Amino acid sequence: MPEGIIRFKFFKKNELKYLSHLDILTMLSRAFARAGIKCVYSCGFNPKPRVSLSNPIPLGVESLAEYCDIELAENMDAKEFLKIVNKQLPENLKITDSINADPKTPSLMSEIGLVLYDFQVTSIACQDMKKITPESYSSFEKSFEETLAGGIKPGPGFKEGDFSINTGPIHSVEFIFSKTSTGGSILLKIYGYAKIFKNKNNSIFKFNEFSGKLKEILREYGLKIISAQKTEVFIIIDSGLVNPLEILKFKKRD
Amino acid sequence: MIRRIKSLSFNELEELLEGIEKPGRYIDSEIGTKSKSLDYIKNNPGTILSCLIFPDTYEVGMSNLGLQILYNVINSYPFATAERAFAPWTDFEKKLRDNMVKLFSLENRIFLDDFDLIGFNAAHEMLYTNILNLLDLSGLEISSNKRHSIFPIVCAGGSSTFNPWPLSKFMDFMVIGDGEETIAAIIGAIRDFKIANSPGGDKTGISPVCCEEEASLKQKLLFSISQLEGVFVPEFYKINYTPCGNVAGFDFKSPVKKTVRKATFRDFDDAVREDSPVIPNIQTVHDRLNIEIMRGCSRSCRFCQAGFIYRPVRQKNVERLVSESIEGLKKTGYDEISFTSLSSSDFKGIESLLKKVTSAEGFDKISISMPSLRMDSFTLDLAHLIQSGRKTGLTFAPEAGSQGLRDKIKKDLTESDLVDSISIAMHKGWDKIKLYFMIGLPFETEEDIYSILELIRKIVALARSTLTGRSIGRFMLNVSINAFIPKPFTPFQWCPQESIKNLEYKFGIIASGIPKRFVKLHWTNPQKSLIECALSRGDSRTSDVIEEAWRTGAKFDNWTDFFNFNTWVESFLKAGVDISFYTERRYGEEEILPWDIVDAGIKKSYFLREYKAAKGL
Repeated sequence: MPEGIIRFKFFKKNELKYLSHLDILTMLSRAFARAGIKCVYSCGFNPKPRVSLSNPIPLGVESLAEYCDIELAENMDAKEFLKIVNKQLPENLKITDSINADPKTPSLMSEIGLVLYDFQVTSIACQDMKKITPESYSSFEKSFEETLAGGIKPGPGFKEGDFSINTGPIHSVEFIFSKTSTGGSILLKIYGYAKIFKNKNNSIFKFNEFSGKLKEILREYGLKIISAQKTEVFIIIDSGLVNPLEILKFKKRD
Repeated sequence: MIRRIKSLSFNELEELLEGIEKPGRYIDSEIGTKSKSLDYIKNNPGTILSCLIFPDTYEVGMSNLGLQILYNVINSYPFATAERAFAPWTDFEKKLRDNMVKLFSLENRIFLDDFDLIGFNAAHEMLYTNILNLLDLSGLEISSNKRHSIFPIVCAGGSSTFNPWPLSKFMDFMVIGDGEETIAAIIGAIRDFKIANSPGGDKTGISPVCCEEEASLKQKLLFSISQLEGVFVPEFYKINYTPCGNVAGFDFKSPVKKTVRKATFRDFDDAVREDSPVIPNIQTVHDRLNIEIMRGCSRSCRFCQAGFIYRPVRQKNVERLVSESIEGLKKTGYDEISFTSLSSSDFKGIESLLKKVTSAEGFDKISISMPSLRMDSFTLDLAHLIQSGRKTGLTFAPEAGSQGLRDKIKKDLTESDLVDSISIAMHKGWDKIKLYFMIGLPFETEEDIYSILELIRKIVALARSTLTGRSIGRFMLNVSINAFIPKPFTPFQWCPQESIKNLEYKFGIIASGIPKRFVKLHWTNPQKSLIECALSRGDSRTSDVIEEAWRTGAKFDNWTDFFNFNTWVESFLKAGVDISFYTERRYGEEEILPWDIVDAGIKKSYFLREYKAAKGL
C-alpha cells in the first residue's frame, strides 16, 4: 500500500509529441529517479515505479492535458514534487499542476469519460482567407453536423444531458468562429468519449478516424486543419464536467 | 561574418513525419545532448561542425558506447560541435527521396553536406552498404575522388577499419584504433587549416579560385591529417597485385608513413567520463547506463580479433568507476547498468566494484548486466552480487565442444569450470542460461561437433537434477551457434572459411540431437558469415563489390529481413572479383596481406607462431 498518491497534469509538445505512451512512461520514470522521488515499485522480474497515465493519444498529437498518478513510498507535498520533477524534465514536457490524493483514489482510466480536442481550422491557401465568411462558416457547420455529429446541436457552454443524441463517439461539439480583417478562422472543440457508458450506447472517440473524416469535409469547403491539440479530459459528474485534478479538489472541500 | 547553415525547420520535419513508423527516431530533445545551438554556430563562424553517424537505426546506434564517447570529446571544445545522425528506416528514406530532402542531423537538423566533418562508425562489415546509402542520401558522391569540395570531409572509424581497403574508395580518411585522442587532433588540424587558409577563420572565407586550387587545398588538409597517429588516407596509398591476384606490394603517393600504426589511448585509466550520456527518448537495443571498465583483453583466444586489436589491456580505477557508476545512475535515472569490457571477470577488483555499486543507497532496484563474463573465474560471490538486484540471463561462451578444440583455439576453459559455474548459477536461482558456440573452426572434426551436443545434454541433465518444481518449468538453455570467420589480425587470419554446405551439415547434427524441451537454438545465417568473411579480408577491389551491391539495393545487411545473399554473389561476379578468393582460400604464410599496411601493435610473426602452435597441438 502506498503512503500517498500524487496526481499531476503535464503537457507534451513539439518534438516530444512523437513519443509513444510507453516512451513517456520511461521518460517520467527516469525523471523521478533523477529527482530522487521515493516511488512504490511494481513486483516481479523488472520492477518499475507504479504510475498510471490517462488514456494514450496517437503519436504526433500535442497534448496540454496528460494526467498521471504516481504511488509514493514516502509521502511528499505535491507542489514540492512538481518543482523538483520539473527540473528533470525537458522543456517540451513539463508538469503544470499537481495535487496530493488519497491512496484509494479511483484510477484515471476508469474515471475519465471525455476527451477534448481543439482543431484550429483555416483556409487552404492564404489568398483564399476571405473564403471563410460567416456564410461559408454556417454552411460548413451545417454540413459538419449532418455528416459527422449526427444531428448534435452544438453550442458554447453545456451540461451533460443538453444533447438529445448521445450515440457514437462524440459527446458534443463547440464551434468558435473568429472574423479577422482577411477572413476568419474556426476553432472546433470536439468532446469525444473516452470510455463506454452503460446507459449511453456510445463508442470510444478515435482521433485518427475522426480527423481523417474531418479533413475530407473541410477540403470541400477549401478549409484545412492547421493544428490539433488535446486540451483537456473530463470526468462526468452530476453537476457537469470536471478535470481529474478538479475532482480531487472538490472532494477535499467536502 | 555570419555563417549560413542550411537546416530543416521543425514544420518541414512535421510534414515529413506524417505516417512514418517510430517518429521518435528522428527528433532530438533528448536529455543530455551537448551540441552547440544554431545561434552559437552562426555567431562563431569558425566552429568546426562535425556529424557522428552510426550507420544503422537510432535504436542500434544509440546503444553504441563509442559514439557517445566521441560525442562528448568533440563537444567539450568551445570551437567544435558534434551532432548525430543514424540510418533512416526504409519508410523515412523513401519520404526523403520522394520529397528530395537531404539527410539531416538529429540535433539542429543541419543537412549533412553542410558539415565540415562527417564520421561513420564502421563497427562491423555489414554496415558498409548503409554507409554508401547515407552518403547518397546526404547528396554527396559516394566516391571520395568525385567529391571535389573540401568540405565535408568524410571519414570512418571502428573495428572494421583495421582492414581499411574495402571502404578505401569512399573515405577521405580512416581512423584505426582508439578514437578519443585522434578525433581531437583531427578537429584541431581542420581548425588550423581553416585559420591558415581564410582570413576570418571561417569556412565561407575559403574561396578557391578554381578546381585545381580547391583540389590542392584538400590535398593539403588530408596530408596534414595523414600525419596523425592512426590515420590512413586512402588517396596516398595503392595496392599492387600479382597476376594471380595476390598483393604484390604497396605504392605511396606522398611522403606518408609506410605502415599506419593504430592509435592507442594511453590515458584510459585517467579518463573519467564526467559528462553523462545522451539518454534516448525511445527504447534502444541496450537501454541502460554503459560503463566501460576495461579496454583490451588479457586472453588471446586465437579466433578473436577484438582480443588482439584492442590491446594493451587498460583498466580503470575501481574507486573512480564506483563513483562514475553511482553518479551516472543518479544523473540518468537508468535502472540498469552494464559494465562493459571484453572479459569483465578478468577485471581486477570486479568484486569490489560490484559490491560497492550494489550496496549504494537507493540502488536496490538496479539491475546489473555483465556481458562477456568468463565462467572459469565466475565465482559464487559474483553470481550472488549480480543477483541481488534483478536477474537477467547468464551468458557463457565455451565456443567449442571438446577440450582438444578449445585448446587449439586457446579458449582457456575446462568442462568442469563450465559445469561447476553453471551449477552454482542454478543453485542461486538462474533459470535462463545462454551458451555461445562456433562451428567451422580450424582443425575441427565431426567429433568436435558431437561434443557440443554432449555438453548441451550434460547441462540439461544438470538442470533436471538441480532445479525443481517451477524452476525446471522455466528453465531455458539458449544455444547460439555462429560460423567461425577468419579475421585479420588473428592467428587464424590465413585459414580458409568452412563452406556453407559443411556448416549446414554440422549445424544439422546439432539441431537434430538437442533435447528440444529445454533448448532454444539460434544460428547465424552462414551465407551472411560468408559475406562478412569476404568483406573483412577484402582489398581495394572489394570497394567495387560494395558499390555494386549497394547499387543493386543492398542495405541493412545486418538485418535478417534485408540481407540478400544473391545480391552479394552477383555483385562479386559483376565486379569481377572471385568471392572464394577471400573465403575458401588458405592464404599463404609468405603472402603480403592487404592489412599489412596497418600496424596493429602485434607482429605478424607472432600470429604465425600462434597459428603453428595451434596446428601442432
